[in-house]
Amino acid sequence: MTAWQERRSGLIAALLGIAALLIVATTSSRGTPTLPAEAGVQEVPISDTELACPGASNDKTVETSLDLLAQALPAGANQPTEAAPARARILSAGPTPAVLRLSARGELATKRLEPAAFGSTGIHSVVVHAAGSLAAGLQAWQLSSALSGDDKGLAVGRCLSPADQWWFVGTGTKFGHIGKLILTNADSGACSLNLSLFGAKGKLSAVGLKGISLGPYSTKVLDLAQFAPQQGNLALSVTTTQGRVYAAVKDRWTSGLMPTGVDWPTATAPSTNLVVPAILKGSGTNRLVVANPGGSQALVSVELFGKNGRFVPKGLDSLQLDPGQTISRDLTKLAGQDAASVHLASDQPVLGAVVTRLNGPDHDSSVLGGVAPLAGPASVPLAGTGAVHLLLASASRHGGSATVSVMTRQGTQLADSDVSLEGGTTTQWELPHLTKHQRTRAAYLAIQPTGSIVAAAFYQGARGALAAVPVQSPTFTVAQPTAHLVLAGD
Amino acid sequence: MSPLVTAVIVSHDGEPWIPDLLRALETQHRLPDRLIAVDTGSRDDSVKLLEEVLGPEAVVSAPRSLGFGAAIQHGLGRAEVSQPPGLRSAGAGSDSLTEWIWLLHDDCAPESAALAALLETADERPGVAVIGCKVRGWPHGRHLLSVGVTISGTGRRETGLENRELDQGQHDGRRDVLAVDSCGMLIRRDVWDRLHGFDPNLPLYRDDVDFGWRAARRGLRVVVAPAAVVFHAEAARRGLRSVDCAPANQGAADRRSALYTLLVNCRWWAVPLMTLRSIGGTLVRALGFLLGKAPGLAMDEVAGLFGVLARPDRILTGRAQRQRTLGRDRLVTKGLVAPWWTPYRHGLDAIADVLSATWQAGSSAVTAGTTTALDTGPTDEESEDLPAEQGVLLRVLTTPVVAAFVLTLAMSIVVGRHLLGSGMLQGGALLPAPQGASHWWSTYFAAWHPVGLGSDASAPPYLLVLGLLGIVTLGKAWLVIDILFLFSVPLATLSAYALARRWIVNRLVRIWAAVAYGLLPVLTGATAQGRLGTVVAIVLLPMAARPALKMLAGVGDPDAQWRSALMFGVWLAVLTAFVPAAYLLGVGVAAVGWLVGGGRLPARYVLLGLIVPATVLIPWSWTLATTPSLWWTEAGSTTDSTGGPASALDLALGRGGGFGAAPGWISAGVAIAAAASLLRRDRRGAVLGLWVVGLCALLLGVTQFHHVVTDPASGTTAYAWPGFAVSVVAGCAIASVAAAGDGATAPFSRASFGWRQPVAAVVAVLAAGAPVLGFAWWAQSRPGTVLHRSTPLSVPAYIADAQRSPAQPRTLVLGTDRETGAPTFELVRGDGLRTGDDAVAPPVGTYSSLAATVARLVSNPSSDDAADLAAYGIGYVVMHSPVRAEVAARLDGTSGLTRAGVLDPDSSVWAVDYPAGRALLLGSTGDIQKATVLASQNAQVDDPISPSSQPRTLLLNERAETGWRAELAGAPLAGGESAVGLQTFKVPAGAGRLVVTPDGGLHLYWLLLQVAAIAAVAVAAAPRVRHERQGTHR
Repeated sequence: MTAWQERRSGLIAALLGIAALLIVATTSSRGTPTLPAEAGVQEVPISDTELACPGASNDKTVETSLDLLAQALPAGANQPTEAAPARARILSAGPTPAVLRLSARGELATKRLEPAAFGSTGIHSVVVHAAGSLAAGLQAWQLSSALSGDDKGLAVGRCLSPADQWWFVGTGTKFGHIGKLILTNADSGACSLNLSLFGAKGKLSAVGLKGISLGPYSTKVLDLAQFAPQQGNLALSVTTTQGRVYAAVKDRWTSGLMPTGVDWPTATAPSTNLVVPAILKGSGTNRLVVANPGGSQALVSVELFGKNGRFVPKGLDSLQLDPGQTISRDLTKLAGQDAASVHLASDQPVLGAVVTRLNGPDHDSSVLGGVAPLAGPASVPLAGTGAVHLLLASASRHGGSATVSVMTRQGTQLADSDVSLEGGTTTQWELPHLTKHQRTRAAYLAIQPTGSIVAAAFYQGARGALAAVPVQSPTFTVAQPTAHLVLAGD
Repeated sequence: MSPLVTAVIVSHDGEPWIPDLLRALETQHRLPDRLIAVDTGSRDDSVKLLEEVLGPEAVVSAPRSLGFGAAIQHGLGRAEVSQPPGLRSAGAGSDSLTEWIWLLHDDCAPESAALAALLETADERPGVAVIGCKVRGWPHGRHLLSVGVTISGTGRRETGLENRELDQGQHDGRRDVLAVDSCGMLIRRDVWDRLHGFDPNLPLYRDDVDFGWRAARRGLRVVVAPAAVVFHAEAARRGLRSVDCAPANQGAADRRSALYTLLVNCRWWAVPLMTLRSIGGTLVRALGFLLGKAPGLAMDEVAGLFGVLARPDRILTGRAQRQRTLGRDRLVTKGLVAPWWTPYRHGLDAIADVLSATWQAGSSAVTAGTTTALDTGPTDEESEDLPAEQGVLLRVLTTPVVAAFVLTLAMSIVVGRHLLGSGMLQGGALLPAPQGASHWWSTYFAAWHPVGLGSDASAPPYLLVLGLLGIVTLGKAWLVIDILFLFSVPLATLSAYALARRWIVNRLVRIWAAVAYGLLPVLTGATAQGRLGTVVAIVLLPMAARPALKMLAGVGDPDAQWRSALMFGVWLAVLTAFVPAAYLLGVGVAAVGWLVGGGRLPARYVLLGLIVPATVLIPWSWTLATTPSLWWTEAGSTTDSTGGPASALDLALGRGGGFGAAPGWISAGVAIAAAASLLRRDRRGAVLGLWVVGLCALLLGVTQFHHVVTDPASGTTAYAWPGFAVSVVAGCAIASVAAAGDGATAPFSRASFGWRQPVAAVVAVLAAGAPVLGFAWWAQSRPGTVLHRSTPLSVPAYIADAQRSPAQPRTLVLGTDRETGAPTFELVRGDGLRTGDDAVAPPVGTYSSLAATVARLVSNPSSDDAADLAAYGIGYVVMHSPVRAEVAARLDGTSGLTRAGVLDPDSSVWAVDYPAGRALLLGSTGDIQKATVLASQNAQVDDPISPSSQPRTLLLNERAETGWRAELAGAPLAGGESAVGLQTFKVPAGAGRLVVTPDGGLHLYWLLLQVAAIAAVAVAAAPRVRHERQGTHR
C-alpha cells in the first residue's frame, strides 16, 4: 500500500468517524433556553402604604373623625418586621404633626379632627402613611356629620391609595344635586390629569377637562357643574397623565335651598359584572344609575339579589346604553321592602351605582357603586353613629357565608354571628343585642367571608342622616415581579 | 585651452574588473593626460594587468591596509606620471591651466564619453570644483546607483533613488549636490590640495560625502554631469573581495564613519543635539535590528556609536582641522543635506517592508539599510490578471478581482442604504460604537472597568484588534464598525481571493470561490443581526488559512514553515479573540490531522501554531480556560434573541439562521458540488483534507446548535450561535469545489465522452449558481430592522452630561421585557454601554440587591427605595417608551423621587432627591440624605474633605470585590463592604485629600507578560533583516 493510499484510508476513516459523531450530535435532544424574567411574580408583604381621605374644611358645623385600623393578618401571612406606627396628618407641603397614630395591629384608632386643623380656606385632605409592620392591611375611614349647614348629613368615606385612574357614577349637577370633585396630590411631584364626563346624551365635552394640574401636596376642588351643568346623572373618570392622584366626589343634595344630605360616592371601576348591595330593608327610594364609558353600545341585564334569591325586576330586565351614556332607573317599587342587591351583567364594561334616599323631606342620601367581592377578612368601623346595617350578598351561584364579629377598639371580640347566604341572595345584618357596656366598647365589625361575598355598610344617624361605604378587604401583599438586568435596552 | 587630467586608479584585488576598466579608458573620447594606478597590495594579478597596459612606471604599490583617499594621495605624491603608448598622444605636456584629478575604482568602467562629458561640464560651469558621474550597475546595467549623494540626519548616505531604479533620464538635469560618488569623481587639483584630499579618518565609508560636504562648506560647487556614465561593480559591498583598510567589523566602521562625518561637519551648536540624536537613533535602530533578528547589526550600531563617543579627540581634531582649512562656514550646504524627516521615512519604509514580508510569510528576509521595496506596479501574479492594451483605470477596473470587489462594494452600499446616515450602528448583538477608539484601548488596558456596578474582568483581546483598526481610521470607532458591517461582503470576497490567488490557478475559479465565500448566507445573516464576532471571523478566516496551508505545504523550507506556523498562530489568536470556538476547531482539526496524517503532519509547527494563541492572549486565555462557558460566546452579545439555525441541515448548508440570513437552498449547489469534488482523483487528497476540516467544523456547529449558553453579564440564556463553524463548513465546501474545479477541463477533454462530462457540467452549473442566487437574494434583502443606525442615547443629554461630571451619578433605566412583560432595568454610567463593554460587565449576580429594589420600585415603592437608589449612586430614573402608566404613577408617589423632565412624549425622568454620586461621604449616623458627594476623575476618587467631629464612612458605589485602595492625607484607610457588596472605607475625623484608586492586582504584570509574548512572537514571525552596507562601492 502506498503512502498516499494509507493517508487516503486514514482520511476516509476520519470522515466516517466525524460523520458518526455528527449523527449522534444531530439526533441528541436540544436544551431549551430560558429567560430570567420567567422567574415570575411573587407576593411580598406590603411594607409601605399611603392612603388619602376626602378631607374637610374648617366648617365648624361639621364633625370630622378619622378611623385607622390595621386588619389582623390572615393565617400564615408574613409582615415586615420593622415596627413603626401609622400616622395620619393633614396634607401640607411642610411638615405637619400627626393628627392620629396607630401603633398596633387589630386596634382601631379614632380621632375627632378639629375644624381648625383644616386650615383657614378650602378643603384639605387627610393622608395616612405607614411604613413597616402596619403597612399591610392598613385601612382608614373618614366620617363627616353635620346636623345643619351646607354639609348637613352623614358621609363615610373609605380612604384609598393615590392612583392613576378613578371612576365615579351617581353624582349629578341638576338643580338640587351638587357634585364636586376633590383632587388630592399627596406626592412631592406635580400631577396633571384629564377628566371625562358621561351624561345622559353620552360623553360630554367641555373646556378645561384636559390638563388639569396639581402642585405637590395640594388639593383642588372642581365644581362639576362648571363642566356639565344640569346633568341629572353623571359619571366621570379621572386619568392622570403625570403623577398619581387621590380623587373623591362630594355629593350634596338640597331641597329648594335647604341642604338635605351629603355623601362621598364610592369609587368604582367599569366591569361587565357588577353587584351593588345597596337596597336597605324598609322604606326609602333607590335609584339605579348606569353609565357606559366605552365606545360601544352596551346591553346591560339587570337582576336583583333579594332575600330569597335573584329575580328580574319587572320592566327592567335589560338596559341599552349608547357609548358614553349615563342613565338611571327607579328601583323603589321594583325592589320591594326587603334588602336587595343589584346585579348588572353587561357585554361592555359599565359603571353602576345605587342612590339611596331615606323617606322624609330633609332626609339624607347615599351613593354606593359596584362592590368587589371580599377577597379575605375585612373590617368596617361602627363610627358611633347609631344604627349600622350591613348588607351582605352572595354573588356566586353556590352561595357563601360570613362571620361578622363585633370588635372593641383594642381588637377584642365582643360578639359574633354567622351569616349564611344562598347564591344570589342578600341579607341585611344588624348588630346583635349588646349590653350597654358592650355597646359603648364596640368599635368595628370584622367580617370573615367564605365564598364570594359582597358587602356594604350603611350608617344611619340623627335626622335621617344616611351614609354608605363598601366593605372591602384590605391588601396585605403586593405582586412583585422579578426585575432582571438588561445590558443595553434599545 | 584643454585642461590637464590626471586619472588615478586604485586597485585592490581587482583582477576580474580591471580589463574592462582599461578597455573603457582606451575608448574614451577624451583620454586622460596622465594616468597612474595605485595598487594596495593586491594578491591577484591586478598589478600584472595594470603593468601590461599602463607600464610598470605608472603603477605604484602601496600597503594593503591603505585607504582609498590615502592611496590617491600616495599615488599623486610619490609616483612618476606614466603614459602608456596608447595614451601618450593625448596632449601630454601641454600647458594646461587647470589640472583635474579623475578618481577611478578598479571595479568600474566609464562610458567612452564620460571624461569628455565631465570636462564639458567643467567648461560650462567654471566655478565647479567637483564633478561626479552618473553611476549605474555593472557591467552595463540600467539601474542607477547614484546621481549625486547627500547625508541624512542619522549619517545615512542618501542617493534619493529607489531601489534598483531604472535610468530613464529622470535625473539628468544638472544640479548642485552635496557630494558625488568617488567612483568617476573629477576634482580640481587645487581643491584637492587645499582640502587635503579625503579625510584619513574615513578610510572606506563616507569619504566622498565628507569631501563634498567640506567643499560645499568652502563655497565650492559640487555638481553631477549626467552625461558622464560610469558602471560600477560595487565589489566590496557585494562581498566580492575583502576590505583591508577598515577594521574587521565593517558594520561598526560604517556607523562610526557616519556619525564622525556628521559630528565633524555640522555646525558647532548642533553638536550636542546631533550627539543626542545619534544616541537615540542608534538605540532605535539597534532595537529594530533586534526585532529583525539581526543582533549582529544591532551590535554594529552600538559599537559604531561607542567608537565615536569614545574618541572625542578625533571629533575635536577633525572640527579644528576643518575650521582651519575651510574658514567660516558659508552656509552653502543649505538645501543640499537631506531633509530632517528622511530617516523617519526610511523607518516607515522598513516597517512596511517587514509587515509586507511577514504577511507574505514565505519571504525569508527583508533588506535594511537601503531604500527598499518600493518597486511599483503589479506583481507577477497580479499582472497576469490585467488585460493588456487598455488604459490603466480601465485595466484595473476590468481586473476580475477588482470588478468583483467594486461590484460587491457598490451592492453593499445599495443594500445597506438604510444603515447609512447619522447615528451609530447598533442592534441585535451589536452595541453602539464608543466615541473614539481610545475607549477600546483604555478598556483593554484598564484593570477596572466603569461598567454597571464596576468590573475587574479581563477585557477580551478583540478590543485590542478593534483598537488597532481604530488607529487606521484615525480614532473613529464608528468607522471601524461601519466598515466591518457595511462592507463585510466585499471584505470577505477580497480576503478569500487573496487566499485563492495563491492556490488556485484558474482565474474564473478564483473569482467564483471569492464571491461565493463573500456571499455566504451566514455572513449576510450575521451582518443583519449585528454579530461582530462572526463577521470579523469570516473576513479573517482566509487570512488564517493562508499561513496554515503554507505551513502544511512548506516542506523543505523550515524557516518559511516556522514563520508560517507563527503567522497561523497569530491569525488563530485573532480569530479566537473574536470567536473562542475557533481555537477549539483548530485543536480538533489538528488532533484529527495527527491521527490521520501521523508523522507526515508537521506536528511541531502545528503545535507551535496552537501555542501562540494561548500565549499572546494572556491574560484572557486564562479566563477562557477557567470559564468554559466563554468558549461558546463570541464578540458581541451572544445571547441576543435574533434567532439561530432551524436545524442541523441549516448548518451543513452554510446557514446560521435567524433574522436576515439567506435561505439555505442558495448554497445547496455548493454542497452538491463539494460532494462531487471527491470524484476527481488527482485532487482527492486536498479535497478529503478539506472535508475533514469541514466536518470537524460541522461537528462544532452542531454542538453549539445544541448548547444553551448563559450570558454571565445578563443572566439570559440562548443557544450558542454557530456562525463561525458554519462559515468554516461553507468555506471548506467552496474550497473543495475550487480545488476540484481548478484545471478540471484538461482531464475531461482528454477523456472520451461519457457520463462524466454531463455530470461535471451539471455540477459546475449548480456551483456557479450559488453566488448568483446569493447575489440576487442579497440585492433584494432589506436589513436594518435588527441592525439599525440611531443615536446611542440611553439617557437624555443633560443626564449624560451629569453622568460625566465629577460626581459621576448613574442612571437607572427601567423598561419592560418584550416577551414576558417583566420589568427590566439597566444601570447606565458615563456614555452607557458601548461595543466591547458587555464583555467586561460584572456578573448578573452582583445586581441581585438592586434588582430587588427595582422590583419594589415598580410594584410597591417605599420611601426607603429612593435612598437605596442613592446608595448605588443612582441620581436619575428613566423610563423609556412605552411608559407603563401604573409604574410611572408609583414612581411619582415615591418619596425621594421627583419628576425631572421629559425625554420625549413617551418617556419620563425622575431625579433622586438624595445626594447621589459615585463616592458618598456619610456621617457617623450613615444618613444618606446628609451625605457629601466626592469628586471622581475616571476611576479615581480625589477630593479634599474637611474635618469632622466623628469618624465617617466613605461609601464607594463600586463592587468591593473588584479591589480598592483609599488614603486620607496619605494614610491608608481600612476598607469594608456594605450590606449589598459595595466598597466602604472607615474615614477618620481628620481633614485632607481623600484618594481612592482601584487596586489593579496582577493585571499590570499579566499585561506585561502579554506584551512580552506578543513581542516575542512578532520578532519570531518577522523576517530576518539583512543589512547592506553603504558608503563604499569599492
